Amino acid sequence: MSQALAAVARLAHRPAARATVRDFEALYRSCRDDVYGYVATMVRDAATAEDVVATAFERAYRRHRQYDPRRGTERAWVFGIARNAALDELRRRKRHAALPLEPADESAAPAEDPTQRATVRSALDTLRTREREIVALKYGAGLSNGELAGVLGVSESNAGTLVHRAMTKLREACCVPA
Amino acid sequence: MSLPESAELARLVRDARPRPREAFTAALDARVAAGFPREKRRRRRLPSLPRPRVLYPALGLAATAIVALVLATSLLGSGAGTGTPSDIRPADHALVEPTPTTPRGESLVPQRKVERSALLDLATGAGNLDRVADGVVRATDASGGFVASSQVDAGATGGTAHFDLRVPTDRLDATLAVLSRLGHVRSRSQSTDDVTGAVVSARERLSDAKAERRALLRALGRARTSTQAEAIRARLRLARTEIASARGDLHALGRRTAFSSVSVTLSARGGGTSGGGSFGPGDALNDAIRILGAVAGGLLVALAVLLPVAALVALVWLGARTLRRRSRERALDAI
Repeated sequence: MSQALAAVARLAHRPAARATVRDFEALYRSCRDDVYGYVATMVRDAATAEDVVATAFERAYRRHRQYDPRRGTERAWVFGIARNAALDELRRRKRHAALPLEPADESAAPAEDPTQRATVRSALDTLRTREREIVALKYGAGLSNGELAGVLGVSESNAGTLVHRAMTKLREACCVPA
Repeated sequence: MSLPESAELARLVRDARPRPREAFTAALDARVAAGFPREKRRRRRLPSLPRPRVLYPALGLAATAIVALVLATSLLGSGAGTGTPSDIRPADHALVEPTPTTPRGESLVPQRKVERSALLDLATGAGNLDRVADGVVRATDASGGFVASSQVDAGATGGTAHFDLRVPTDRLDATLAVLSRLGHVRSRSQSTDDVTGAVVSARERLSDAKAERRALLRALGRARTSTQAEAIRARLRLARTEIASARGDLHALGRRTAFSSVSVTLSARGGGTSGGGSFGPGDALNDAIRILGAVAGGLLVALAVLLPVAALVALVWLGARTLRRRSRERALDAI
């Protein structure tokens, strides 16, 4: 009896569940690589970044129905979840042992301008984590200032100021010989 | 490298961002397509709240149970003709200001002495006369008072009863409230009589008579002849009589102010407020209003309990959220 009821319930909920999976898949495909790039910049370890990204997308999938468009774009919402997951990982790491900084994977990047890319990477490494995070969100993931403000929990004008400061510092770091 | 332009730097940053491995993206794509199937062995987590679909009926049931409980309690507690003597509480003595006294404990500034009395006219259904009459006696006993006189005339179609009660003045209001719940109140009146002057006068008479007795006793000790002594003794007898009379007056006034007289008239007729007669629309309306009142009371009580609990839970939740947020931000600063 209970099995029959469960089957009826599954049938009743199937279309809605399919629609949710379709909507989420579209969102996932639009920001998968950007989320990975951002998380990897934060945690600076490929294996950890993969775990964090998988956790973040699973959380986003489970909470997709709770998403409220009035509180920002879906993209900013996903990045907020990814940020929390990354910060949780950093907290865990702080409690245990710090991972050594992993060298950048050159094979994964496009082939053009390898010298400049290396310079930018080195410059990024000199920034503080907060600044690196802002650069990654703004230029790595392409978030607008409004989306950035939503992810960081600051005002939009404050987000603009933070971006400007971080980019100024990054530009200066690019000119400093390694 | 020369100072790059913003647009150029932005492009370089985007190019330099880490990219996921193909194997990882393929595995994640598959998990997303499958809707993140739950693994059989998951980490142990704290038990989560039931899903809303389960939670709402449960909350509804709980609320219904609370309302039903309050309703039942209310109907049992305020049933027609059953007074609850436990409602009577002692008067608030803190409101009576202390007065300065002599070393012997007598008051220099007399408190206002007031004699109170009340008239209460109750109506009830024909079959309830005995029950309400018993309720009057029980309420009087519970207040610490007594029935000075009573008369009950019961007939086939109803009856009347009259009670002359003495109730401690500091419990008069509570007792009247209990008595008023025993039936339908047709009229209720109270009167007060200030007897402070009479009390003061009796005290002064007593004081004067005592002073005279002391003076006479001293004079008696100084008397030289038997004639003088006899005359003084005669005056002493008069003084003692005056003392006894003043004391008697004081005691009587004390009883009148300590106890209030309550006159209760009870009329029972067919088709009364409850029981004995037919159940008309008026009775139904009264019952409906009473039930609605009880339900509203129950909801209010439930709200009074739930609101602080909800506020506490919200506070704890907000505190935990703030702590978690700060802890995450600290993790960012620590690197």
